[in-house]
Amino acid sequence: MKIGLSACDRVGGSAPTYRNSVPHSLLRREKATYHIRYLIFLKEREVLIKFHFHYSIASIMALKSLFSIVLCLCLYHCAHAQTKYEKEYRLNQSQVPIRALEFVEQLPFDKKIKWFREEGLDKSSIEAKTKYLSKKYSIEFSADGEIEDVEIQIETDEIPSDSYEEMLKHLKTTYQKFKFCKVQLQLTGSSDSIINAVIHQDLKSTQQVTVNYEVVLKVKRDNKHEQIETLFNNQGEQVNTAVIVPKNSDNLEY
Amino acid sequence: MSIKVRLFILLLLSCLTHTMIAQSNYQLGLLPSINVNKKLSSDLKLNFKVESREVVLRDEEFAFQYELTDLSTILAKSVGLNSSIAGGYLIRIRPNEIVHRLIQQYSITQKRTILRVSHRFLTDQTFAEDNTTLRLRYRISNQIPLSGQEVNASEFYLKFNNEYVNSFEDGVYDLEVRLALYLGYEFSDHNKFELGIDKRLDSFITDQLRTRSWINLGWFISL
Repeated sequence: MKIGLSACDRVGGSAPTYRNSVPHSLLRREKATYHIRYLIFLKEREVLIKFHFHYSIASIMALKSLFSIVLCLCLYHCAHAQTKYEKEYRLNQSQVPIRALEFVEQLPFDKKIKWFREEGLDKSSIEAKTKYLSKKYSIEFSADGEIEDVEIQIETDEIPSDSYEEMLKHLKTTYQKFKFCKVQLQLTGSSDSIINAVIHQDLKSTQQVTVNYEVVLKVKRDNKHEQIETLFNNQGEQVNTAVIVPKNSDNLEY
Repeated sequence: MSIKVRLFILLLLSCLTHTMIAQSNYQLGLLPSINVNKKLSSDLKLNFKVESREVVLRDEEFAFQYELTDLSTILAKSVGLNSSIAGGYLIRIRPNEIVHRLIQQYSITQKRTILRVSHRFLTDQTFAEDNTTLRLRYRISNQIPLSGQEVNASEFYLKFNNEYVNSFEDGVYDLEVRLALYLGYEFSDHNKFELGIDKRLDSFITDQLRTRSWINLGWFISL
């Protein structure tokens, strides 16, 4: 569809000029003919300008209307959308409860500690993240600074073989396919027992601390792909499983 | 307003200033878009996009001019946890021309510690009145939260895109490099707004370098 392109050329063209070399006897008739042609040209130009103008305006108006409809639909959706309130943000050390700071000071961490606050609808917690002996540590506290657990990122070959075999047995019977994404050693217990376990890096001799494995997996079940977080106990038995709801990534894909 | 958001605005302004004082073969314009996504089933998703272009500056002269509107719809099927294949159709409406485009894409999104990285491989075939253009494109997109380790509701984030567009038109090859930096705000996981600058460089292989910069306003909604 090429409406208006030739019109543009003609609109922008110059008006016809009278020739000086026309014979005198024919001048009046020729002048009249040229005058009529020129009037036709002006009229035609006016029509073309109007047509071109109306066509452009019509198409822009149509597109604007389309934008407006989409915009209204979006606003309607926004007004009725229900959002899950969950927020996580950085904290300065001065905003961290003293009990949490005191606990971390007893640990032999030598790298920078990053503090975060996680807020949900019914619970909020404080989290410290750092690296120690080339491993990622995450220490979770209640909102008032009481220790909840310490999580240490490990590789699958660091899980005791008996526990690992038990985990695999469970996963093979439950899912069509699975792949380990992240494994964290989870230590819970009294603050003294956790501190001892971290300082001595020896879990076998520390009886008071409870060891679990928090595993993030990509799985395929009923021909559906999912990401799950499963907690296994020290014997490799499944304690609980939660499906991780994937974040929307439309703004990265389109 | 956090220091990171202020720094981004400063960076955006400096990019704009640089564009405006750059070489003569350039143009600056607006690129607003609305992107609506609808989940049809657990593995099928429909994307509908309206995008328009208005040129504001051309070769150091103010020249506000409506250029085009794109309407596109893409049907995507997930083929993995974070990957999908998609196909769609785009109609480009110019004041004096209508262009049709077929799109095929594969995309995969990965979550790193704080980064979300997406790779998009795309081919398209554009059918204009007097020519056909084939393109092969690759884009990497990175999203970085400006607060915490993940982008949550009511939080700002940065998005950086880098795309390479290989095009073949009447047997002539050209490469376009696109760099874009956005400041995004997440109202909710299904409602995001982005403002940024999208810089496009092309014709540097066969001709004189052409630079186009678009101020991009994008709204992403999932129904």
